[in-house]
Amino acid sequence: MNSIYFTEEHNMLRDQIRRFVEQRVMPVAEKWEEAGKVPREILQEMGELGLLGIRYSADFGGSEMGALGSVILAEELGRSTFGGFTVTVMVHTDMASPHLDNFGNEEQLSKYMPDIISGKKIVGVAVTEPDAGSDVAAMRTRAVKDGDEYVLNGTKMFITNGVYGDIFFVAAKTDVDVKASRGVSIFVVEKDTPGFSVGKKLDKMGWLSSDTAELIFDNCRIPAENLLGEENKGFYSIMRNFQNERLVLAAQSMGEASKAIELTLEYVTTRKAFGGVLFDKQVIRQRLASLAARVEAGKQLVYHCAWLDEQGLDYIKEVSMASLLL
Amino acid sequence: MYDCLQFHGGFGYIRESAIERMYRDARIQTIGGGATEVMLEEVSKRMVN
Repeated sequence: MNSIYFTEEHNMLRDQIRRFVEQRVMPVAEKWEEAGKVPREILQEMGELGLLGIRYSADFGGSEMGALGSVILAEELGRSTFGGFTVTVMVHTDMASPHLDNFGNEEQLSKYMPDIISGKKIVGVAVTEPDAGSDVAAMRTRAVKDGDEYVLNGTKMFITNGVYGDIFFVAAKTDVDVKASRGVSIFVVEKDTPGFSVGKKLDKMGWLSSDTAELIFDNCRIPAENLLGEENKGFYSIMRNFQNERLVLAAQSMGEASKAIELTLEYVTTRKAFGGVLFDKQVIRQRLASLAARVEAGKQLVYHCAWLDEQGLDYIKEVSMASLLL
Repeated sequence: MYDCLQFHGGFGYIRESAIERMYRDARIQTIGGGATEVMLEEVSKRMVN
């Protein structure tokens, strides 16, 4: 791809992912939709190819690329036409595990990161609740310190990878007497922890191969060392990660939109109607041209956001604008 | 996605077409990770500051 943003290394990564998607995903993913699950084997295969640690330290098996690497991954997986598969991976690599990467201590990083990058363990992030979505401050889940443990109580909703995931980064209030933004902390919760359970697997309109769950914490006791980052500073960690989440979701959408236009072009240039093909109709080809213009503009904005990220700059306004194009 | 499905005609409504799935999959994108209305607020409050 000729672009001011992408290097030869980026282009090689893009080619590699495109081949993987065409050979290993598209021929079989219909079965994953029916099963409501992305097979662990395919995720581990991605781990072996280095696709689950694009952003992370080489010490744990990562490739140490920047946000442009994540954007390439999201866009190319988006081209698979299987959004459920794409989001399963992107939540693992770019929405959940960044919490550990950004705020985990040495011990936590070396304990969890290698398994995350290899795909041996799949992760999710549990912030949203039945009554708290983008309004993070409204969350009700509590974590109360008791000796060298925290006790979690509450319910999380719409959690991607919630049914089959192994490790969750869970947000809970640790101080209810202060402004909500100063009283949230994030904890690492492993699947088999007593008091932690999957309420129900949610049936959805789309993203069928992605598992979505309600998660229940009922006097769930976790060791105090599972606190991620500083106590009561979790709100900022969540807000910071929102930028990256929006970036990869927008990139995924751009990949999907590009592929949809390609599929449509294939159809309208072959489908016969009124003595020609559909593409002969001005209204069809002009509408497709205008869609292509929107997608191209969206992609360039997404790349620009990723570049801003790599410069260490804030881009919440720009990435929110990119989301508006979806 | 709406137009792409539309241009597939009847085939776009059939489960075996990729565009049918993509249309369903795409719907969440204006909701998840912050709804369009939340994004509009994010942008608009930064326009006056």
